Amino acid sequence: MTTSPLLQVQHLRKYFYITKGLFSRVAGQVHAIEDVSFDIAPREVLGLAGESGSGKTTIGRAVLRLVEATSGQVLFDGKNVLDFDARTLRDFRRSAQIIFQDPYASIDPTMTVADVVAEPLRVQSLARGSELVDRVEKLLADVSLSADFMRRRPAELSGGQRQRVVIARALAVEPRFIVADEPVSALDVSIQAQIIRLLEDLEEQRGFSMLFISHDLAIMEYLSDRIAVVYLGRLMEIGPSTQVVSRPRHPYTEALISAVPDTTNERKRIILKGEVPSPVAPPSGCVFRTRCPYALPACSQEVPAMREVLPGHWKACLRDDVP
Amino acid sequence: MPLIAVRDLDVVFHTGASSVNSVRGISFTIGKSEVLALVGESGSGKSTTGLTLLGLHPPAKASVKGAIRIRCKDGSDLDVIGASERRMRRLRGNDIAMIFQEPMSSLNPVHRIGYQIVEALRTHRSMPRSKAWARALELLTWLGVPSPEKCLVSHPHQLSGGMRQRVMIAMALSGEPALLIADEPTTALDVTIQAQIVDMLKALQRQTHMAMLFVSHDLGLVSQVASRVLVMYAGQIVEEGPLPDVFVRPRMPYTRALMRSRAELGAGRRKIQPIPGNVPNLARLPSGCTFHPRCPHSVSGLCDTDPPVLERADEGWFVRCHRWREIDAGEA
Repeated sequence: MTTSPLLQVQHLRKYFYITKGLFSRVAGQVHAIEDVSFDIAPREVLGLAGESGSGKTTIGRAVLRLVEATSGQVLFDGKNVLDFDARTLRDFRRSAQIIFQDPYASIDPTMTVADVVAEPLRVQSLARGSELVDRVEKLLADVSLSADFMRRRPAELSGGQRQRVVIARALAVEPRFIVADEPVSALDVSIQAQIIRLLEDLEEQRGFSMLFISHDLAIMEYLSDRIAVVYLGRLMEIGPSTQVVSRPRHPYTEALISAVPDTTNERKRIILKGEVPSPVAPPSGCVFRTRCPYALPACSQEVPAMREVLPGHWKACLRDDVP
Repeated sequence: MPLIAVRDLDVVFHTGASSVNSVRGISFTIGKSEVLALVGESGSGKSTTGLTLLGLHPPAKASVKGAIRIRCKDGSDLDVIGASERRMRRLRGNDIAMIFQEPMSSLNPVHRIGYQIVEALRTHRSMPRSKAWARALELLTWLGVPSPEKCLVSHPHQLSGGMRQRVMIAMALSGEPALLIADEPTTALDVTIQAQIVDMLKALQRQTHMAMLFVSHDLGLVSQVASRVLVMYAGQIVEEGPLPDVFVRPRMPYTRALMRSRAELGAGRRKIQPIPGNVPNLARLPSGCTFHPRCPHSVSGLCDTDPPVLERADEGWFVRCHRWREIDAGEA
């Protein structure tokens, strides 16, 4: 990519400590994110794929400093977000927002829809009085909710309508970057498509960048320019969406894609053995080697470095001959 | 004669002052060793149908009408509706067993896995504890649990979601049922684990010739398991037919719309087309065809007034739509 990136994540790590006993002795650490690096360009949508426990949600939160990273850098416009103090962090939140998975948990049930959407504008002192009302009405219109919704409370809304409210709230500050963490997973199939199309249209009109976190690769391919695949806190592969999906270069991505059920039933299936190992004691060398059908003795020796196999397409795997 | 024949099944739930007609007159059969899929969105009545086959609705809260005739293993013929609770207890597990989406809520958290499987086995067959233990071990090994001895002495919380689901399947198989109802059995699992479980269920079905009712919202998933599908919308069957044909060339506008609203892997940026509006509230159903407010082919004076019936469109293929012929011919 020739344009300078909006967001650069460099060697990001996050360990959660497991403590035991009266004096909270550290008994172990969960390697939630282990040396993850990627860029997101202006207007780009990067999909972050992985199974539960892969660290994808933690990456999204660490980037926005909703959890504090253990080490590494997150550069936004070249400035390190991890160094921000309370004041600069609040300014940063004007540029970066998040959409959560569960619209039943991410809205205060006692607030009206208008209050929910107005809150970020108030907190950031961006609008007040009649201007605030106008902005809220306009934001609701942008997510296809009529002004009638302003006085309603979350309990009166369906899941899809709630998620529209959450999106309107995220858009209120006109962010340049949005983390969308499984934004459609809690919704019915027919409603999922509505929300995906909405995100697609909004992204096109407003030109924000997005980190789209999902376990659904079909939706991810549809919405993302590039896809990054994580496993046990490590990046396995990153590249252009259609290329990653049609010709994955990492054995894990290959297995992940083959496991997605399709209605035509034509895809070759690779059934991985076993389950994701514990992030407290990840395997030595390549973390995927214990389930990899192509693992060699050398795979346990060293952590494979990310290398470029095609322009813009990287993988962390020792082998060139597979998949 | 089929294994189970459901005729005009109607389920109404009474909640305080109002009542909700969750299943509205559905009929279907499942043959011996057939895998039938039941798909629909939340509120379509698919889970209610599964539970009703096992007589699991409290009579005070739900009124169930119609007939559910099952050919039992002992050679008798039973109508589940109206059967005594005592008779139903003999049916459950022995003739029909069920597995659910969240195995954690179906397992007892304070007992070890071994105890729970042994209990299930001994409920169905009188056998000594030691023999039941050996059988439990055999079942878990067969279901691909990596260290079955260790699993048997574990508590549910010590197992992963995939392992818990295998334990649930082992318990469901303990009575060697003729029909297994699987209600979203892999929805809570990761795709790689889902693939393992689905593969295992398919192998299981091939070897035991057990019939299955596979309830799911995932159209891709059901095409991998089932040979026939029922599509439900607002408590009714709106399309029924063979797989994958129904998904390749759906005839009912709702099934067509569902297919178009899905992002399919490898399809790139082919635009997905959302279905406008929401799933109807079962307490206030639209008049006429329940799908008409969301249907692009709806015509006033017909679709909004006359409820369509399930019509035969082809061999084993049924469609509930006034206009399926025109739509099928590309004229609508």
